[in-house]
Amino acid sequence: MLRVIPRLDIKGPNLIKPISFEGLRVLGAPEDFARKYYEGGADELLFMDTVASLYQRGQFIDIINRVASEVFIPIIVCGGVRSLDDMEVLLRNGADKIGINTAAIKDPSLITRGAEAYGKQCMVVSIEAKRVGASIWECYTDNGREKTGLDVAQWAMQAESRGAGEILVTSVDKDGTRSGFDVELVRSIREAVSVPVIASGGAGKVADIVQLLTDANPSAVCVGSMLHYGLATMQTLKASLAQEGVQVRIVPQEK
Amino acid sequence: MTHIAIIDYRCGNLFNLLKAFRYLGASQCEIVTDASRIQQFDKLVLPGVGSFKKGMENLILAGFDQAIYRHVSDGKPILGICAGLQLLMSSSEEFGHTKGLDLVQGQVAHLKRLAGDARALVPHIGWAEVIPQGRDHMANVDMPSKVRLLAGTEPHPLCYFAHSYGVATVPDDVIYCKTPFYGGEFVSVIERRNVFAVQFHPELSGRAGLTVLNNFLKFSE
Repeated sequence: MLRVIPRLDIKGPNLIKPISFEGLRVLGAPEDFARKYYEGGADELLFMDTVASLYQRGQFIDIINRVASEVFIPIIVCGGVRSLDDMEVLLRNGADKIGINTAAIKDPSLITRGAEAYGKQCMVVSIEAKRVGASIWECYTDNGREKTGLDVAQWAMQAESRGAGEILVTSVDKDGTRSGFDVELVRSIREAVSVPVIASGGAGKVADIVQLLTDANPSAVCVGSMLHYGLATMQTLKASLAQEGVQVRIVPQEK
Repeated sequence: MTHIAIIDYRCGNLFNLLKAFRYLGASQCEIVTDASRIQQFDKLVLPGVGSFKKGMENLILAGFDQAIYRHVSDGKPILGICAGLQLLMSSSEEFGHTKGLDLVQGQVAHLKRLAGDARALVPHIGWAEVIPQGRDHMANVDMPSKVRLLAGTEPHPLCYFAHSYGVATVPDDVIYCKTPFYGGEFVSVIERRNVFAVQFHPELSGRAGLTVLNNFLKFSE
């Protein structure tokens, strides 16, 4: 059963939507979007702290806390997690899973320590992948700004062996473009690991998701702009997917 | 007002479970680290994630095993969640063989084995159907049992799972549900008298999960 995960990029008090991690639009209060997606049948929510500065961290954590008090599906939180203490703070404020990228690349033992403390299912290794050649992708950090020289499939395998329970792969090239997923990228990760893969970056229409499933078969997809800009609602998206023969969870709507 | 203790034995994140109970109006619900306080409570919740062996060690070290036995033999309800369901069983194959609380007879096995399919992705993370099984002993008819925890949910509700181990079978006198997993299946709900357990995370299973928690909250014999 495919999980559909709205992705909420947060800056300060706002939901924003960057394009290929740059240039952004302010969309509104994240709590309102989160509630609407939960009620419409989102399977999880993904929150990304795009700033991850100490100065604005409190504000981000308050958002997570408020959302978790009224939303009863898993919440994945990414961005700015550097230590077990950072994880603890997020979990105490409503996160169910922690996504790590930059800090895991700097010190892969953080994945293992997180998995030992909170269980594998809590550790999501987030990979920001940029295409650097035919069928070659490089891991980036710091919101798609810094190169690492790491090959994405190699890193995904290492992350799994270190204790990652899921791999979140975001195409830096596709994110926010609504021009379809980087299907080949998702397939290469899917073939490299035997833990669930969450595909992110590029969803623009139902057909993009259907094609991704047919050709790469991830366990979950992230959807951002498509929902935030009202091109689809959770209900219409799930209904269209079901119509295309995709197994999804349909939530009966309250009258 | 029912007093509910969520047992904290340092195995995972309990805050969203507490939030869910509070949301349902259970103001007298708290996270408890001191086993000697357990007898003050009407209902226990044994949550948990991760290693069975570490879970058992931590329970015993804190004296929660004895507190749980006393609570259950007093006829008071307990709800095991995820690894909490597994710890109620006789033993686990994790690290060879580890003894559990043995409140329900049965073994915990790795999901790769229960799946009967080498391509199975483990951990199992996501939504899956919870299907009542067997024979209704109360009504003495061959039809799926009335599962008390599922009262008021849709038939075969979808719930959220996140686990690497599972239970293959439980004894005949237990009311239970199963969940399909690749070519195999695992036990996803257990009920016997005052012992309740779910393999999924009710606090993360949307409205269906809240209904399950509310049924446990309201349960009285």
